[in-house]
Amino acid sequence: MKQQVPSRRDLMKGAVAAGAAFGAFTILGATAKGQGKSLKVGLIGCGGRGRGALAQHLQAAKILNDKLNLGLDMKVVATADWFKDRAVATGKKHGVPDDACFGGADAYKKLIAAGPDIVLMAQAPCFRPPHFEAAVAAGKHCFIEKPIAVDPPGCRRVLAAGKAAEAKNLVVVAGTNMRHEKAAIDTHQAVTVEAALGKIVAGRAFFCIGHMFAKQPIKPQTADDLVRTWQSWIELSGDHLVEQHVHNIDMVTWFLGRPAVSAGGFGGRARRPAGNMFDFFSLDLDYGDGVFVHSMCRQVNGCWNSVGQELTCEKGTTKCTDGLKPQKSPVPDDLPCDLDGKPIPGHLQEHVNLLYHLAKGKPLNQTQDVAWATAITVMGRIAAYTGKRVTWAEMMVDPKKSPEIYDLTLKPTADDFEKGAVEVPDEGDIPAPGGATAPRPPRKGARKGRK
Amino acid sequence: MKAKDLSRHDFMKGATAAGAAFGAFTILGATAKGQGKTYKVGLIGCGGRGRGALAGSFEAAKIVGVEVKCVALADYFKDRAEQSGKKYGVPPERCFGGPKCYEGLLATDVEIVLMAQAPLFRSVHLEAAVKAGKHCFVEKPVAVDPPGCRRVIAAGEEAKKKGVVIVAGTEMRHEHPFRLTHQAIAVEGALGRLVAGRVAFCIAHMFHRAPINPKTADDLVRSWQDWTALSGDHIVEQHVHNIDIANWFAGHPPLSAAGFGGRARRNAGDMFDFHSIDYDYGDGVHIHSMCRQVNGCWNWVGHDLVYEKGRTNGRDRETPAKSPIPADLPKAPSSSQQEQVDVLYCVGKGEPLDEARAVAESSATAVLGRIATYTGKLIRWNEMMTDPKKNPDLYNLTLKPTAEDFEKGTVEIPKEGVVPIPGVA
Repeated sequence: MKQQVPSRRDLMKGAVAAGAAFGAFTILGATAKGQGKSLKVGLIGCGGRGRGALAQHLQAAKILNDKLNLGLDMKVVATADWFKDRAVATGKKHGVPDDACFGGADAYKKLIAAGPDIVLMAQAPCFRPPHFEAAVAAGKHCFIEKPIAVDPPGCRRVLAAGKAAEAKNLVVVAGTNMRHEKAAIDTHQAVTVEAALGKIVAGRAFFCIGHMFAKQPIKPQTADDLVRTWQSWIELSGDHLVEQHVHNIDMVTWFLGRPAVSAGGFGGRARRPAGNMFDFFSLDLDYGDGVFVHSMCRQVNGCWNSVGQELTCEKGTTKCTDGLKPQKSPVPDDLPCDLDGKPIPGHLQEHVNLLYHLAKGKPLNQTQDVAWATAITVMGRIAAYTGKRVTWAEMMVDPKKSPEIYDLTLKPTADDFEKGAVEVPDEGDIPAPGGATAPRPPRKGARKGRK
Repeated sequence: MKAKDLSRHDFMKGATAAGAAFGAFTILGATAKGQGKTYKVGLIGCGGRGRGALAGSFEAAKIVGVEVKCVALADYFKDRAEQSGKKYGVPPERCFGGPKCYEGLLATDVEIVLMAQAPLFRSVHLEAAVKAGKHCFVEKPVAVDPPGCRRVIAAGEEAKKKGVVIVAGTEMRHEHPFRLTHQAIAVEGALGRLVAGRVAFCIAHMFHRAPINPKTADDLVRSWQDWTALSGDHIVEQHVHNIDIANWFAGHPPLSAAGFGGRARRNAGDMFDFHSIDYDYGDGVHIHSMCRQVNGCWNWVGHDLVYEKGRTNGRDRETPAKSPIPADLPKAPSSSQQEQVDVLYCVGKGEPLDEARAVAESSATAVLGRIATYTGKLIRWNEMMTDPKKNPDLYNLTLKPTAEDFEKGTVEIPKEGVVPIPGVA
């Protein structure tokens, strides 16, 4: 394996932009085969996923050091969470002083000001657009969990921030973990780039599992109650279609290389006792050029369960992760993809990829990908909630066509949380598709006496 | 259009069997190109569809060049049978009412029985009609549960043996554009292999807009479109049309169904108002079936079947190498007339057209989907239809009240507004 000297361009830029508030920017001595780099990391959102991401991030650095001798010296410099105690608890584990563990609605601002080079984001989805925007504005490399927003304006905000990140050569990696695995990247290359199976003509995507999260009504009284149970509220999570099924939609969209043109669909709430979300969706996604994808997701116990995606091509089908061998793999030869003889799982591989690209000075910006996938699920959700067919053009492109969709903003917003202007949604108050069944209007002409 | 010399084989057999109690057996004088015939037609189920089918039969007779005479009528409600009787000159003693009305009708000299009673009753009535040696036109769907569907398949086998014609009200199968397109694509393979598809019947709200509050069996029959036990739910009652097209083009019913459904806005009866199903037709072919009866939503009724080399809506490729339509089969201006033309043509030719299995399988496919959406489970065709031992609960699933319950007067009224909830708490 060749040893390359990683580019320090991005790294230094980040460091210069953020300053060195904590003096943690230690350049390690050059090792036998490479130069050591110190990277400062901050985490926003210290829940299970955030703590997992941080651990995987650090493990990824170790893998890269072991395999490529990059000498990355990772230092966790700050943590942030809506709940300060969570930030402190996570900080403690990584040697972050209490005064660099931030809580509250503006914790993310303090974290960004603390001077990390890389910001990992696993806060509730509704907060991701403003936090990502701020991180990019401050010149931070980002890992951002999926979904990146919960409504159309949020998706567009992230797209715009992604462009800014690109201009600044920032690395942005998204938590759509399946697409980071080598098997998926190779399959994508074979199917989409090399067209090994001919044209993609149809597809199915599904995330059907048992019940998740709160099993009793939450009865929230405060903003804190909502944030603590964010997985059960549309305004915070986007509904499970957006929060979870986005994985499969991302895969399908990646393989097709374009966002869906429109969505029509069905959904409802069969069994969920808490929050205000649906617990099943079944959508007809039109990807244009005659390609329709049936998207299905459910979180109900005792039902048919299946998670994955399947694309029907002219000459066969693919599950997108089946490891089709391309003529030429786009995965760099020296990128570590195996650990102890097994493929590295996506949740870890995404951090390997992030640090690899950052260390090598290679561009990697997945903002548009994850924003598209998120927006498609938002489009599907609107379709299922209303019963209407919703188009990408009216939701994402043309502000004038259907302003009520283009500007659709879920309340409470992230802004409301920052301002303390949160109105607690009514629990169990879920959307009813279509219009009410009105009483039959009186008939013209009496039926009586008609022959 | 040529008047054809139709075979009188079945016709005479029927006439002989039933006798000529009313002397209505008028042989018309031979026309220039064929012989006039008069077929004795009866109708079970005198609602809108039934009256339409009967009118269609009269139109079809003109097209085919024969005559039909309505000789008996039956309806759960005797007054409805009599009302139609007045129009067609059928005396009250040949207008039958009550849950056993079909028995009275079948005991007459009727030769062709049109059936448009509530779906729940069709499997029982069809079986009896075949037993009595009557030619049948039966509306779709033909049953509401797996045993009912199998009963119709069995009746179809019996009909074949007897040379009795069974034509089904899956009307698109009778339309020439569909038949020609099916021949070109599904039979001759003009577009290669079927790879995927979508079929839909998404429209606005139908039927009762306020709770029905039924008290009696009569109340249920009068509002049958709103009750799963009588209609099969709208996926079975209405969307069966499109599912039938999917089965017809695929050449077989699906292996399994998994799906999603619910009741968003319906406020009467006990049915869902939307279903969205993933049908697995095997060999990697999946068809997304969608149906809805809710106001103010995206509406689409149609078919989009994807093949290796193109796609079809089922009726857009009328250029097969070899037409499956007999050269002498008249073309009718509407599908509801065409299906009656096909009845009279087949009866006349003495060529039994057995659509019992096809319509029973399409009904069963819709039932498969309904059970999938009601339970949230993946439901397999073989467990529901062919293997009695694998999943007896499913194989024997019988909606209550049954047709027999109506006959015996043991009807329990379903709870209005109580709909299935998929999965478990």
